[in-house]
Amino acid sequence: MHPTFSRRAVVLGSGAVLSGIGLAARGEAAAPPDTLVVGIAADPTGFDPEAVLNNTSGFIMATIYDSLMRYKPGTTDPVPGLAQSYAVSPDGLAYTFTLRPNVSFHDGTPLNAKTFLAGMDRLLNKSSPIYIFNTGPVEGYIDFTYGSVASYTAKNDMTVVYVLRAPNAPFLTSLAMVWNGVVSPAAAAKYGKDFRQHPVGTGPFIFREWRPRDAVVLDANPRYWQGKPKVSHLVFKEYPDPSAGLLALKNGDMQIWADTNTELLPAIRADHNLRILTQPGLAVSGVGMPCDTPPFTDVRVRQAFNYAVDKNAIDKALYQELAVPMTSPLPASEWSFDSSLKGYPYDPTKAKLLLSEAGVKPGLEVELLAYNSGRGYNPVGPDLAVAVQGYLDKIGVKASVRKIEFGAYLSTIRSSKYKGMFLVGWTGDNGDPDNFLNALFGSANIPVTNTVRYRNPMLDALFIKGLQTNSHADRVKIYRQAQRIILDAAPWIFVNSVLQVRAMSKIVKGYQLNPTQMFFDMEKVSLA
Amino acid sequence: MLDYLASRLAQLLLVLFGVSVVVFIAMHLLPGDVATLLLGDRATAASLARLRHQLGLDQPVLVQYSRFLIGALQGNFGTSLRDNRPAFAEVLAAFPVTLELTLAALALAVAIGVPLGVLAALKEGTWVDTAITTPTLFGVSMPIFWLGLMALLLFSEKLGWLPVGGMMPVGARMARPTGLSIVDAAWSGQPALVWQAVRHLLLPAATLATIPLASITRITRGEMLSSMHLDYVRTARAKGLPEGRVIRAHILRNALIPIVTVIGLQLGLLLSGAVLTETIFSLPGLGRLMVDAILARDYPVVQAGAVFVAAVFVLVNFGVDLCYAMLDPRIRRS
Amino acid sequence: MSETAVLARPPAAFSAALGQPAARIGLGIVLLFLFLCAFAPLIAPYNPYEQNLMSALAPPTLAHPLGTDQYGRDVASRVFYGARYALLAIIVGDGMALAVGTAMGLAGGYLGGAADAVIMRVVDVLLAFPYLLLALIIVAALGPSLLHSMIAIGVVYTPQYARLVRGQVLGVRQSDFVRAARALGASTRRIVLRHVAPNSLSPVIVMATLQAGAVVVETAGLSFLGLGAQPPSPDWGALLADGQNYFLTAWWIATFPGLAIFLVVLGFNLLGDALRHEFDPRAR
Repeated sequence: MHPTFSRRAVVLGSGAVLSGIGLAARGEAAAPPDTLVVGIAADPTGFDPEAVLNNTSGFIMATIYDSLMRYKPGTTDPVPGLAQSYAVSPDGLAYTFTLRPNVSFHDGTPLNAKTFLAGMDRLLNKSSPIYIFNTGPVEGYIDFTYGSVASYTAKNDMTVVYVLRAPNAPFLTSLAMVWNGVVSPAAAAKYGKDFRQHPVGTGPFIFREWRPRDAVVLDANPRYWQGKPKVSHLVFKEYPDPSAGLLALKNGDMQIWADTNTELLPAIRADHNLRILTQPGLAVSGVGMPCDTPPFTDVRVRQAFNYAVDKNAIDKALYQELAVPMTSPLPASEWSFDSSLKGYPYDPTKAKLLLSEAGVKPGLEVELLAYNSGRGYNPVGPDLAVAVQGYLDKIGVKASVRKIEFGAYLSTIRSSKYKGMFLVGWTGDNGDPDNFLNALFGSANIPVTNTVRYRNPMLDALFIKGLQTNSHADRVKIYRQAQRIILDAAPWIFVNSVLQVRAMSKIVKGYQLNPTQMFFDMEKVSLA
Repeated sequence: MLDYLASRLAQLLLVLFGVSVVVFIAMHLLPGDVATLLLGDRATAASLARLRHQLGLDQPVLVQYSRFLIGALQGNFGTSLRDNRPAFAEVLAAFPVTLELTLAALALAVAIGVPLGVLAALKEGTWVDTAITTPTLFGVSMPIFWLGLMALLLFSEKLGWLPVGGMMPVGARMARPTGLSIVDAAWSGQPALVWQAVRHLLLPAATLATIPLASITRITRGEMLSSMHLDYVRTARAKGLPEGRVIRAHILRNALIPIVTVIGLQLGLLLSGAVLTETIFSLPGLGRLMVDAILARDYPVVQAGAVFVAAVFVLVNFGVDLCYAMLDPRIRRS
Repeated sequence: MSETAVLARPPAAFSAALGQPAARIGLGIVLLFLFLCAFAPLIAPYNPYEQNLMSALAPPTLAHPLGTDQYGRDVASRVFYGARYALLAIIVGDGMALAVGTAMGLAGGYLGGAADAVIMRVVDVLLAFPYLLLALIIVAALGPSLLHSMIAIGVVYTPQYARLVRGQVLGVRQSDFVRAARALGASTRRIVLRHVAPNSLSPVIVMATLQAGAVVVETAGLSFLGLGAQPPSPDWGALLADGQNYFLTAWWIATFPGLAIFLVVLGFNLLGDALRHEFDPRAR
């Protein structure tokens, strides 16, 4: 009696419960219509723009802060931001910025020369009560941006002047980076060490809450100087697994996927409610060769390895054709890119010939070190190493891939004693060619960013000239020359430059990609 | 009694000390450090050196460990090298998420596994027995991300019944005094929020439950089989007691001891091993925190987390031992 | 229980155990697995390392019965060759845990006193340690490689054997024949090796077969996290990792290795259950 009754009751009961869940819950999950949800894959680590270098933090900080200059939407061309206008002295040593009137920080502090310079003191003046280095570890771009600044003063209420020690051509583009966001000095004083968890800027969105590893919630700033944002709330929600992220996008739980995983593109393309935005990126990726270790000391070997790899096939198979083979050490979107350069087309015969000319016998063994997960400039991560291994095998080189996690990878390749090849890549910060070529191939940067240990004094001299010349036309000539030298020297196997890719729901309007990947101009975005 | 407690406490402290030493050594054996990782590709030699100095990483190893030990004894595990927030606070914030997930998973596993184990034992050797034990193996042998993704595909995408991840819907605003989403939602007094919390927990808990399910089913079945033929059971049956009563009062009672042991062991396992489930379902739990901290070489967080989990594990096992005393009068007397 | 009685039991029990259909299935699977390990090069249709980017991500067809992965490599061949790594994981991981754990359990259980206390504290620390953390740290410190990940798993499972054996030893220590041997003046070593060990071992064998499957899964898990096998080796965990992000577009890359793991775990568990059924006197 009892057993039969309870068994039937259980079956009926669970049926009722399940259909109840289904009926009651159908069509939930989507956020309220005035909230834009952006999906991210990694944790931000804090929101103080000059202290934190984390990419995801950057995405979010771009919505909270403005900088003195900003990028023209969709480009890396600097135009006035918080500065209404600017002037540069003929000798390139003095920059005068007139601040925009009637702008205030989210906490009500007005923006004027006094509050702006308090922010500069925060970065550069040890005796400032809100000196940034007293709040905790600082990773930022302070030296990079202000290294050549000798002094900064207020000319009047709303005008500031920077005097430089030596001309610094990238100064304006650097100022526009998200990492130079202007912070409220009153808030910095109020929160002290905790400022990076309570950011206050002038930007389109006001920080409300950070639930670590879960979400960051922001509200629209109704008094934003570029216009009130079209959505009331902005949420950056974490989806650490790519497949779960895709499902959330398809579901409508999130509308823009900041860290779109390219392996899932076929599934995204198949869904008609989703759209893919692409833009040439500021990224380069390839395989580095230790230029001070035989047999890589011979340029013919390095060039042979370049001819051995079929970049087009790799782009198609691994990157869903969302990458462009590198024909130069600079990406095509760079303003000094030399489109006349041909790069290294796929030619295994030539590769084998060059190797034998250099005296390398078939069966050469070499290690190929790979980081073990995707990176911005190389979303497929170690898969690239495996593909290159396959191609090297075809020309008689036995490469063994070793996959290690990023921390171990960095410390190995920077040890300047590592004798193997390794995956390399770089993303530009401010769209300036010096930021690419000098960092990667200038001998002053061995072994930290110039991990291939390439030395060329002629190239170094060119870099110095490039930094100090103010004429744009001259700089183009200089960097074109530098490109050619580096391409011929082949310190890397130059593989590809990935396009920036973001998938989003079709209901999102007004969103535009930026080469630096940051979420600028979010006040223009609306959900139709 | 006091002696017993004192010796257990001493054991606890010894274990925690051992754990902290092992973690400390191991973390320093790992190549690469947090400064390298924070600055990533764009480090310069100068910025690396400066950051290391700011983080106190340029001190000799023994100095670092003694500073850690002194701090730990006062309950201060230092500051996260990544986030600049107190390490222990991060662990405490992540723990309720994992705890809720783990408890829900264990509850499901026990609710399903014990009855299944009883049934399998009763039908031992028949196809019913094999039909029950085989699918439970599915859980421990199929990779959990596969199970989780299948569950998401079916219940979130195809049927639309359950959410894709997270603990609460995006727009939900509520105070979180405990960090356990169901408890906090109940505290807020809004039934809709409680419902949401349950919906978000259901799939991850069910997915994670597949891991302990196999052990619990198997142990129940095994212990049932062992006890079913014992003398006092035969006596009870001979006395004419109904089968159900025999099962409940005698056989199952004995089986409870190993079941409770397994629960205790599984608790420790799940608390730290739920990282894959937390990743698939986007839950901000302790598993993810620990793995991320190791990969980022965030020593204070790894230390805080390891010591915390070890403490929980030892305490849980202590609780299990106390349960033994309650369940088995023979143990109580000794 | 005399010595001769103990020795006489296994053969008869073994064949009795195999009478059950579940046991036969388990044995069949395990034999198939061993066969695959031995003869993979003969059965596999393609070279598991050969890349062919032009036919990448092809669904299962006659030409490639289990499909191809993102490099155009044949999934079936990779799954077949992967069996060897699973076998290696069982031998190294499970074997190491068995050997070291048994030694610890024997020593602690028989010697008692301070030695026992120390050994048990070490076991406690290992058990209390969050398992993933322990494995991660060992592999990350030694350097990622399949061998190191197997060692890490071995370390994680050692305490279970230690506890089991120690429990058995404590039971046997008091038995008549051991006391008799001691009374006759036999050395500790002889007692342990000739009397205590053989009588403690049958549950160990059962545990070993049951853990075999678990070890395969755990090693695969470490490879999955990027800390185990190096590319391009077709270890099943690495295959799972390869296939994870393609799950929604090319389900076959991850699903077939997953099924392979499941079958091996199932096989060892069915076999182990049958053995336990026979060897555990309480389960009669």
